[in-house]
Amino acid sequence: MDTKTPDKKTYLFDKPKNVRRVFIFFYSTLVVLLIAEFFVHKHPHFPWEQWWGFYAVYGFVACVLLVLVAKYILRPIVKRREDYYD
Amino acid sequence: MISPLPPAAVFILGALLIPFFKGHLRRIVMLALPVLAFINLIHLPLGDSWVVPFLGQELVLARIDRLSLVFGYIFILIGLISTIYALHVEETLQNVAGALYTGSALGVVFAGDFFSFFIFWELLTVFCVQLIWARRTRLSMGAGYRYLLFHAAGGLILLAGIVMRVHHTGSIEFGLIGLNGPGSLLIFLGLGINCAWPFVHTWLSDAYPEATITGTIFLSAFTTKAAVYALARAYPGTEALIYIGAAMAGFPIFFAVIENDLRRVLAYSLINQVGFMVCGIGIGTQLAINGAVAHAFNDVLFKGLLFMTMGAVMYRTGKINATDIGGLYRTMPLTCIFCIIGAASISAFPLFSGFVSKSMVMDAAGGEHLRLVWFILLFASAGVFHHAGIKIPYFAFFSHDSGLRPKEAPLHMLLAMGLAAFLCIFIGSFPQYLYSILPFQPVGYEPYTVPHVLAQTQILFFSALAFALLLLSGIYPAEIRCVNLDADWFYRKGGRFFYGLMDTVFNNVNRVCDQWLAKGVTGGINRFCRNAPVRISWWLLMPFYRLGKHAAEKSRHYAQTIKAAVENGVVPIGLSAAVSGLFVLLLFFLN
Amino acid sequence: MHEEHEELMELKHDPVPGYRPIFFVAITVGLVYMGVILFNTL
Repeated sequence: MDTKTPDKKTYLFDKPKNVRRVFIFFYSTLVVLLIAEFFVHKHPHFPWEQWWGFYAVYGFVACVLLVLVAKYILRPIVKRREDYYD
Repeated sequence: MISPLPPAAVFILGALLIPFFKGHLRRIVMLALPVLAFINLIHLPLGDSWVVPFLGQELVLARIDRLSLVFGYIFILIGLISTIYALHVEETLQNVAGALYTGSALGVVFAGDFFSFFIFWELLTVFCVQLIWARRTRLSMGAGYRYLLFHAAGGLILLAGIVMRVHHTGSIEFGLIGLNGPGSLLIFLGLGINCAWPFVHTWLSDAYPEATITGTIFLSAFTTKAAVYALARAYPGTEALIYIGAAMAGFPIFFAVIENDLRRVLAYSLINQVGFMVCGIGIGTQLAINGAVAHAFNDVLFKGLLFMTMGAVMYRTGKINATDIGGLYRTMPLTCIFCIIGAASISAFPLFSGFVSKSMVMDAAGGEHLRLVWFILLFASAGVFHHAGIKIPYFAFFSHDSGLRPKEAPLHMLLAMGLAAFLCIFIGSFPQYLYSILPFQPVGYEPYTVPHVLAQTQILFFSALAFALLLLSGIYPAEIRCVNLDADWFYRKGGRFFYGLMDTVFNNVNRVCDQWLAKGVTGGINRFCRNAPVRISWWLLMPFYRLGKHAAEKSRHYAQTIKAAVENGVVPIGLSAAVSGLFVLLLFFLN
Repeated sequence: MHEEHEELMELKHDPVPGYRPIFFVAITVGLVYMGVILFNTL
């Protein structure tokens, strides 16, 4: 990559330390969000919303399935060369 | 005091003045238009005004009520923001088309009758296409033509529906319609095409990424939202809309994940967001309609903001594919921050605008116990964060270092983006101002409850976790330069197939006809007409020529003489008299 | 300055060692837990 870089300046996320900080912040937020749920009184529309961590797990599973379906089912069906319509 | 004009008139009349100014003066005129339009709008009285008699009916050019006003405000606001964003463009065609497009959108929203509604509806298409063609690339020309054909067909369906409806009811008033009978179904479909329903959404994902950098901001605001307005006006509570909306919210996110052109990713996410609105209109409770309208208002701002940030990247680098850019946060930090604000708003992070409107639709779906729809909408909420919330900022501004070090976006672009970003945060943090202009009052919805904030934050952060783990484990699909087929395959390839089929069938029919009729039959008639007199004359005269001496040689000589004479029409009088006489005699005896 | 940057045909995301097992565990746990919730409430 360095050969293409026209300047030698280092930027915010060029330092691995800063990237690591972002990840530490991110992972600790996840944990805090899950713990916080024990102290929240819910009044939902549906019974499954009562379960601990429903939204967290649904968000995670939904996104993984979204990406896997898009990659392994949709892309093989619809991908064509760039000049397909020319 | 001048009495206020119809809302569309300020932009349309103003647009006609634009060509007469140049440079700074033109910029001032263009910036003054939204301001004047707003002042004009707040001076119009509630109810119908500008009622014009027309062929025994009444045209209503300014129907002011709570529903039309919300859309009027946001259209004028985005008109101002996109004009600021486009201040560097000094091209009369684009300047005028932008203003006329805004005016037409206002015309649609404030039309109280079918006739003026339809006229402005068609004008939307006409001026929108100018902003697509103005890019002047081969791809934009093609996309523009397809856009035009698609919307011309949609317009005809709408017109057919309107004609049937007006014939049936005897009134051209445009109001609540509801699905009842073929006329209303055709109007429903006509509106649906502009609303980018599944399978007729392809004009959007096809054309929006090919328009000019500044034109796309106008495009993303008006056509679909005008259709959302029309559906909210004419078909609230129509059950079919719930499922159409859910489908719209669901399927585009799959395409967005594998798309490489970041503006096309945004186009797909636009369909996804309109899905939430359509679904809300279909549910039809006061909360749901309020939610749909509020989401339309917010979507214009955050989708406009996202398109503006991607436009700024394109303006500085000339590239928009995820494969070509990346790592731009280094030199475009402000654009990057604005992009993240837009991304947070569209993903409905608490304190950002999407949160206070999308949750109204979700809550309405929950309140009606629509389980499947609720699951799809929740899936779409997670998905939109995935592709619009993370993918857009990540691949443009972080990801791999493309080595590009462009300058920060120009000042006027930063101003426009800053204004939109400020409004996204302001509405998200103080939703009561938005709620106070919604159609049904009092709104009585509180987005900031502890369980709601926690649930939404969980869903978003764990979607982000999914993205991070997929990326780090190398499973996330590579960005590839390619064409992804969509429903447009049917007319882009189908059109070519149809052309080929018609070419083969009709050109062969043509060739056969040419062979048989033009060359065969016509030639025959021609030969017959030329040869018949020669033959008849010869047959009649031959017996006499055969009588004399040297009959054989002479008769050959005479045969040639007669042929030449008859063919050229220079028959000696004696000869033609003889032939005519003999012919009459022959007829006489034959009788 | 490089005026011409080479344009990639494909931008791959290389795996970071150690993350694939974490991902598989996470998605398995997620799917099972989601299954349990929906089985008990639907």
